Amino acid sequence: MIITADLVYYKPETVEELVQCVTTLSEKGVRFTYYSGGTEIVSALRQNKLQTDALVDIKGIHALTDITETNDEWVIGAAVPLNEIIDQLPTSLLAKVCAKIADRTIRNVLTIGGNLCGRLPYREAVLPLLAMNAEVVVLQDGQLIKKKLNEIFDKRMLLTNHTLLYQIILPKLEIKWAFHKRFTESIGVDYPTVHLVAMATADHVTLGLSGFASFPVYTVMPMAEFSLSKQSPESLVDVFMHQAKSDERSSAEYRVHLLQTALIEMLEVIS
Amino acid sequence: MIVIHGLNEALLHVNGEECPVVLRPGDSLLRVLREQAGIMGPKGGCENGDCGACTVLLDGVPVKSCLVLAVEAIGKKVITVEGLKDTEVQRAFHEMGGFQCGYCTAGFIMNTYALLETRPEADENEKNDWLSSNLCRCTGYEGIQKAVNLAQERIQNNHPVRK
Repeated sequence: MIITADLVYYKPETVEELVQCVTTLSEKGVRFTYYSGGTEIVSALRQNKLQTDALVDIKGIHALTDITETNDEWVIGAAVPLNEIIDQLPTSLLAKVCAKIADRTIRNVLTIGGNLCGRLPYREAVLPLLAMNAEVVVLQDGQLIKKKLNEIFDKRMLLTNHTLLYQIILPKLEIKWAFHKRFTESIGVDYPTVHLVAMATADHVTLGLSGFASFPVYTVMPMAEFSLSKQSPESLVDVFMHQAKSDERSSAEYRVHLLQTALIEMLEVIS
Repeated sequence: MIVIHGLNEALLHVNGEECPVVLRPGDSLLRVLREQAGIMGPKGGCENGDCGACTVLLDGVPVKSCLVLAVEAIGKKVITVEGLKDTEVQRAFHEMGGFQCGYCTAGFIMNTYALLETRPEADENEKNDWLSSNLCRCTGYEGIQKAVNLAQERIQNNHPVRK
């Protein structure tokens, strides 16, 4: 099936060109979509599930395609493919979670920004980022604005129209332990039925789930509270149980069972 | 800033040659290779990024050409299975019967070639990770696995990936 839409393709090479481009398109009332890896957008266009007049390819801007490191943090451009994160930050929880998303060839083009901002409900990369208290830089009304990720993520990225996720800032935290466990319906290359991502710092523990509910869910609990919960995986399951979804992949009851299995394994590993 | 709309004449660099094509911004690289450049190695299977039959190398990196717009390939080097003639990988697939109906073969060969170029010492986990991007509906995985192992063995014994 071909893409029938008569699109215009723009590829700005500086932020100034990008701002000028989207400002002009907005003023003219042209519907446009930011484009990077394309894995979701090309499929959606082919199936006529996305109506747009123009694609604005953001891969021409280095700040969006580079990973840079300072003493305290990693700055990851939103258009960085997942495999580059896996290669450049191999020991990070983010890399380990990204390595489970889609397949290796797709991850050569699938970007971190696309995973976070796409329409698919899984958005697995957000779980380690929330656990690590990441910040993001967004391009909004021509301005680059830094925000806490947890302030603009609720079920999905809460970005106003035409706001672009520009960079992700990953602090270099001292991590006590990290754990992730991913279940799929049958083969490994599939969407998760349950993906548990957990991480502890000295102060708190973050537990996040993708595939379990209709959107990523997570909770942050003080270390003292988690230490009490450690006695009983059921109490941790209770935090999420009301959000379990049933669909063609799995019943809610089975998802709860998988979550319990993952939590028991997690508690064994961290003990 | 690059702006492309309507029908455009463009040159794609495919297998070491300049291929003149006419493309629209919405055309996939797969369609343009097959229908404009006459390069039939990449196959249209699912055209949804699942099967890997359309895999090509874009600046040396495997991509599923059904999910890449042709405009993105302008100025880059595209390698298709036609560009891997007389390589150890091609020979190994032939010798070990790494195919049944053959529809998926080009995709597997492209990914195997890229894997062994970048990770000639790849272990079983890495090989599985790379090649799980491709599906064989005939389930001829055993022959494919043997072909990958043979190609790797020869390359590790100082044979270059390309003859």
